[in-house]
Amino acid sequence: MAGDHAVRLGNDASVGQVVDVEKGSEYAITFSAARTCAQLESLNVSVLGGISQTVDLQTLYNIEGWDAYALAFQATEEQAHLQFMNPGMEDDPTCGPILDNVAVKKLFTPDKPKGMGLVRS
Amino acid sequence: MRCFLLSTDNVVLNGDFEEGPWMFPNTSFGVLLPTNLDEQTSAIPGWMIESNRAVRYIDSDEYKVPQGKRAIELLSGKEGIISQMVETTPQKVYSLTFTLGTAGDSCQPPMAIMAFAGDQAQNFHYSPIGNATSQAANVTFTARAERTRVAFYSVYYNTRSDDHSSLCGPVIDDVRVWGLNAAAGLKASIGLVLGIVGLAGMVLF
Repeated sequence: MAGDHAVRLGNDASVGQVVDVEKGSEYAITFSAARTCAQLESLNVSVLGGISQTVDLQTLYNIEGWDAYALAFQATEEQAHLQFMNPGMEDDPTCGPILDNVAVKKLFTPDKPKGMGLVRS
Repeated sequence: MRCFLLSTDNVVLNGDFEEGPWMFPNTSFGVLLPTNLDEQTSAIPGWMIESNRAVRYIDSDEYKVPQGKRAIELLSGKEGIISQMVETTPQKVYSLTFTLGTAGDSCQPPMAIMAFAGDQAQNFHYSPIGNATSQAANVTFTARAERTRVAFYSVYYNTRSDDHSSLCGPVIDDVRVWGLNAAAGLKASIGLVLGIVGLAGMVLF
């Protein structure tokens, strides 16, 4: 999707990284993914001690096959063990989701905007 | 009837959708937000994705966005629902306002949004005036509890006209919930009573 390389995850395969985070803060993970075969392929995204969510990769959203997805987690430690896993068990070993472009961004919860005493008519 | 409605604080969190996940530059497909029922931990702070299907977070670099840099494109008809629980005062009258627009992604019309606020549900068809790519919408409701659900979905199941298969839909942005001043409501009621009395007087004499 971007650059020259990406990873394709075979059955039960996973790839991950440990990232430094701020304990108690909220983070969003954005990643780009595509499926390689016609059948349903999915990616399980998890953070150790936190979220574990399986995202189905569908071609409904974009004809090019690639899509970006975002999930959120709250950091429970100063480091987050981020993992992407293919939970599938396909007969064809050449199938499996392709992962590219991963970003982790700290989220700020905006304050509720204060009223301006607007007079409307 | 309502002449002057004094609006109080907006109670919607991140109603302009400006705070959200990282978006990769130079990608044309936005970011899909899958199901998320945890309002405390959300990639779009404050909002939940109640449905099984995703909604798309879009950026003004690649899409038309009504306000600021970010907005939400609703996909998959009733299968793509974004919502927020807002703090309200029971029996108080509120106004839910938002902007309804097009993402400029060749989405085939018709486009419409179903908006829910408390006990109200209203349909808004996208029909901008002139060259505008967005329009304002308003739902007035009375809160029944201390927390009120505000939710949106696309009425139609839209696809793009260029490939006839990629999902697309109407855009929402700038969501606000304003408490309408009780005094103003009272004034309106007094006005209404006076109006009725006046009308009755005219009929009688």
